[in-house]
Amino acid sequence: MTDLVRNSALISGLKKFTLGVSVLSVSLGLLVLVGWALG
Amino acid sequence: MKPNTAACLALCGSSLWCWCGDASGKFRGHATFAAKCFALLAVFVGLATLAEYMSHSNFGIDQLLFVDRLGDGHSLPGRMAPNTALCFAVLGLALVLIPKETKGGHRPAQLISLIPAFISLMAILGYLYSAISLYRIESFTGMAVHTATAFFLLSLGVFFSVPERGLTAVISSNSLGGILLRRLLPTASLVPIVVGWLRMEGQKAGWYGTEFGLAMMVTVDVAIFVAVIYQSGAEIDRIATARHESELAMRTDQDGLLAMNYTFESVIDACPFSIITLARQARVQVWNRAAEKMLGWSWLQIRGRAIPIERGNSNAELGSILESLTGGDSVDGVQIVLLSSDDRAVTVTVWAAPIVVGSRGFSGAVLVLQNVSPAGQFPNYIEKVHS
Repeated sequence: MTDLVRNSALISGLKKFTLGVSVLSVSLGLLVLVGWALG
Repeated sequence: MKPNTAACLALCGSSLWCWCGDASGKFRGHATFAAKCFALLAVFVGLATLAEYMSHSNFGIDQLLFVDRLGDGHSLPGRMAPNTALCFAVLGLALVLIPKETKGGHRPAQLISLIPAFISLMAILGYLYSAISLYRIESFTGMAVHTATAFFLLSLGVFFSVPERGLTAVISSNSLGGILLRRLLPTASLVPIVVGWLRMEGQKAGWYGTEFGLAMMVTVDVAIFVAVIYQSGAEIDRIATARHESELAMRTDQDGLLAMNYTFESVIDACPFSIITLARQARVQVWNRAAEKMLGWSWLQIRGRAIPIERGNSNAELGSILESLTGGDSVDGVQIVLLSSDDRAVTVTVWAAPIVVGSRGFSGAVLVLQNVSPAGQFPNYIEKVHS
């Protein structure tokens, strides 16, 4: 796909979304594990 | 959320982060290795749990991290739900395959990530509509609502991890198809969910029965879809018309430029003075009829070659002329001796100017030559004009 057709702002936003989701999943997983560790 | 579920969720999130992080060079290799390890570990736990369910056995992985004292009364202590295990197995596989692309430009990870997305969406809708069977299979433990939400977001994350490739290339493009998809996909995904929930809540409150509620839901769905599709079509039509007009204007400009180019070519060819244009490397580009008559070389013979000069001082003089032109300076009335096709020395006076094209800078030069040889083939036009 050429740069003319690419929506750079949207692509950048989607990459940030992916990164945010990964951080959220790690945080949620670790938070639950800490909860289990604390009983 | 069971401990294994939480651990696998953290593993999947870490894997996705490793793929999408800004690691470069040596760290890129380490990040790729870590991403695959995390994802494969999640696949292993998911498959092992599914095997436990199918074989009615206990491999001892359910309470490996923590002892489950809560006991929800639905399943073995610490064991994640079967749909959760399936999601981890499939999502882990999608994570491993993120960088893979087929020859046809398809990304298997994007297609595979849709499976956990739909399983988790069913679980979310099960909680929203109080349909237990959508998130709990038989008597086993069910997928928790925050697990389902995390799965749905993670699946979307994997789906959009390489937005400019595969299925998402169209969604993230500025093409008419991309614009249409970005308008219709959110509507097609959200409207039925919201309208269905509103219909169910109204029915629960006793405002209407099943038949009326169903008819109203379908009517609202149809009305919203028709409105959004019509609006999208009108928007696409507006963009297509604007693009068509722009193309027409561009074509008219091109025709104008072409006509101007032909006009200049005719003027140069009709000019009684020898006119030469040189490209960047001082190679002949244009060589008009007067130049052909003066020196005997046809344009086809001289095209792409250096100007024919008589050996001796003219070499240095032509060099200094080209140097001035490259530096952006014009040249007025410098005499050099050129060589005709029949090896005659032809003394000419040169007037020249550089061709500077925008940011590209020096792109060539235009040279006007006047034959000042005693046996000049043409009358001295400049002297005639001045007199």
